[in-house]
Amino acid sequence: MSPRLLLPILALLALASLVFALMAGAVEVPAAAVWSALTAPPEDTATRIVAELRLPRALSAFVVGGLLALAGALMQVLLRNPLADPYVLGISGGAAVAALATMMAGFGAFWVSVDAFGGALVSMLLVFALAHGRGGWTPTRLLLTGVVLAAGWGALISFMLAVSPERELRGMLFWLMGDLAHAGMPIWSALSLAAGLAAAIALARPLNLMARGDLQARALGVSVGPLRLGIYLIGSLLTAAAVTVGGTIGFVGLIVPHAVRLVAGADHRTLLPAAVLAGGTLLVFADALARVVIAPQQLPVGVLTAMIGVPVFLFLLHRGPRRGLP
Amino acid sequence: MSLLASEGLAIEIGGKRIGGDLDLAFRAGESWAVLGANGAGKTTLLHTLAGLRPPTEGRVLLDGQALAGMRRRTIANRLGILLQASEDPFPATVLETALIGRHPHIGPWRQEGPEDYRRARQALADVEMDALADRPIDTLSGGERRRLALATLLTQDPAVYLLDEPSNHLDLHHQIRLLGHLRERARRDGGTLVMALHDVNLAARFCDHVVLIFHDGQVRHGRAAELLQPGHLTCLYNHPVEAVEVAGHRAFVPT
Repeated sequence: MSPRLLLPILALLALASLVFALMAGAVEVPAAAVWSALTAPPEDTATRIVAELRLPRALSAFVVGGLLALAGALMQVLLRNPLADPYVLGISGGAAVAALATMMAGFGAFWVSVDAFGGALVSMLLVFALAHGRGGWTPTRLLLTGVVLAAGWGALISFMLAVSPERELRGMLFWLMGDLAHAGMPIWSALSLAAGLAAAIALARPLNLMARGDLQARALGVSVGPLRLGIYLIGSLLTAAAVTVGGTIGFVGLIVPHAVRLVAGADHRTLLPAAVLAGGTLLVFADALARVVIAPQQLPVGVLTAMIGVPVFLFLLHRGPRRGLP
Repeated sequence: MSLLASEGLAIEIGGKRIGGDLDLAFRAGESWAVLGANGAGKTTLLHTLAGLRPPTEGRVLLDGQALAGMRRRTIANRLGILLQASEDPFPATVLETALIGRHPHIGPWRQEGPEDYRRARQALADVEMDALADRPIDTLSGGERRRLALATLLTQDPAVYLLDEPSNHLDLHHQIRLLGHLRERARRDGGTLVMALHDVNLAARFCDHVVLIFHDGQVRHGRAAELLQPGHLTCLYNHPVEAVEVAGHRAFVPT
C-alpha cells in the first residue's frame, strides 16, 4: 500500500478506535451522548464517565501504544535485529524493579510512576556505560549487555514477587502485565511522543541507510556513531515514558513495526509515523476490550494486546507483503 | 593533482604491518588493481583509503585535502566504495536499494526528486536490472545482489570508485561488461577506479596500474605493464604462474 493512502487510513482507524473506547464499557454510552459530553457537557453520569474516566484512559492508551511502537521500530534498526523490542535492553526491567519496590513500600500510583521513570533512566545509563567499554559500540555488544541486564532485573522482579504479601501481589502483576487503570490525562507522555516522533522522522533517511549496515551507511555519508547514540537515547526515553504510564505492556513494540513493514515497506519516513498510529490504535482497542470482556471487572490491557495482535499479524504475514515479499 | 592519494601510509591488521611510507596517487582516468593473496590486506587498504578506518601512520588525501578531518557526507559526495558483502535484514525493493546511493546528494530535509529516480533507474539499466526494479531484494540471486550493489554505487556517482572484489558472484558476461562499463565511465567523467581483484586476468585486461601486497606486508605499485610479470605474481601468490598469449590478450595461468 502506498504511504499516501496508508497514513490517512491509519489516522481514520485511530479516530474510530477512540470513539469506540469512549462508547464501550461497563456502562454503554451512545454516540450522541459521547458527542455532547465532549462538546457541551451536561451535568450527568454519562458526561462524567466519558470525560473524566474514559477520555483520559483512551488517550493514554493511544499515546502509550504510539510510544511503544515507535520505540520498537527504533530499537529494531538500532540493533539491526528484527526480534528487538522496546524492552530488550532492560529499560523496562529497571522501571519494573523500581515500580514494584515502591508498591512494596506502600506508596501510591503517583510515586510508582515517578520511580518507574527513574528506574528506566538508571537502567538506560547502566546499559550505556557497560556497552561502551573497550572496542566501542557494536549492535551485538549493546544487545548482549542489554539482554543480560534485563535478565538480572528479571531475577530481582521474581524475588520481589516471591517475598511480597498477598494483598500487594495483584497490583504488582497488573503493573507487570501492563495496565492503564490508573492513567490520567497523558500530557507529558503525549509531548514526549510528539518530540520523539519529530526527532525520529528527521533522522529517518539516515536510519534507512543504517538498517543496511554500519559500513554501508558510513560509505554513503552517514555519521553512524552520533546517529546510533541519538537513536538509543530517543528509543530509551520513549520506552521510559511508556512504562511510566502503563507498566510493561507487551507485544505492541515488537509486532506493530513488523506489521507496518509488511503493509508499507521498510522506509522509515513512512514506517515511523505509521507505527505510531497503528500502535496507538491497537492499544486503544485492546484497552477498550479489556474494560468490557468481563465487565464490570477489568483485565490488564497487556493480556489483550497479544490476543488481538497475534491473529492480525499472522493474517498479514500469511497474506504476504506488498509486491510479493515472502 | 591526484583525486585520491596517500602519504607515508602504513596500516596494521591483527599485528601485521602493511606498507610503510606508502605514497599512492590515483589520478583522473586511471584504473588500478589491488592484488594479493587471501588476508594480504586488500580490503583493509580499501577501507583505509575510504576513510572507514584510520591509518596507523600517514594520511589519505581526497582532492588534496586530508580525509581525516572531512565529514562523511562530504567524502561520500566524491568517493564511493563497493563493499565485499551487503547485509539487508529488513525488506526493501531493488529500486529503493539503488536509490540510497543518492543519500549524500540530497539535503537533510529534502526528499528524492525525479532526477534521483532517473539516475537510479539508469544505474539499474547499466547493470541490466531495470526489469527487476520492483522485486524484493531477498528474492535476488548472489550475482543479482552484486549487480544491485554496483548499481547503488553508480547511483551515488562518485569521482573515486573503490571496489572490493567487484567480480564476486558475477558470471563471465557480467564480469567483462560491468568492469568495462565502470572503466569507460571513469575515463569519460574524469574519475578513477581502484579495485581489489582475485582474477589477475581481469586486472590485466581492465587496469593500467596495480598495487601488489605481498605476504610480508611489502607493497609495490606502478604500471601494470611493468609489474604484471610471472615472476612477481609467482612471489605474490606463492604459486608458480606463467604468461601465455590468447586471442590478443595476455593471460596468466597457474601451473
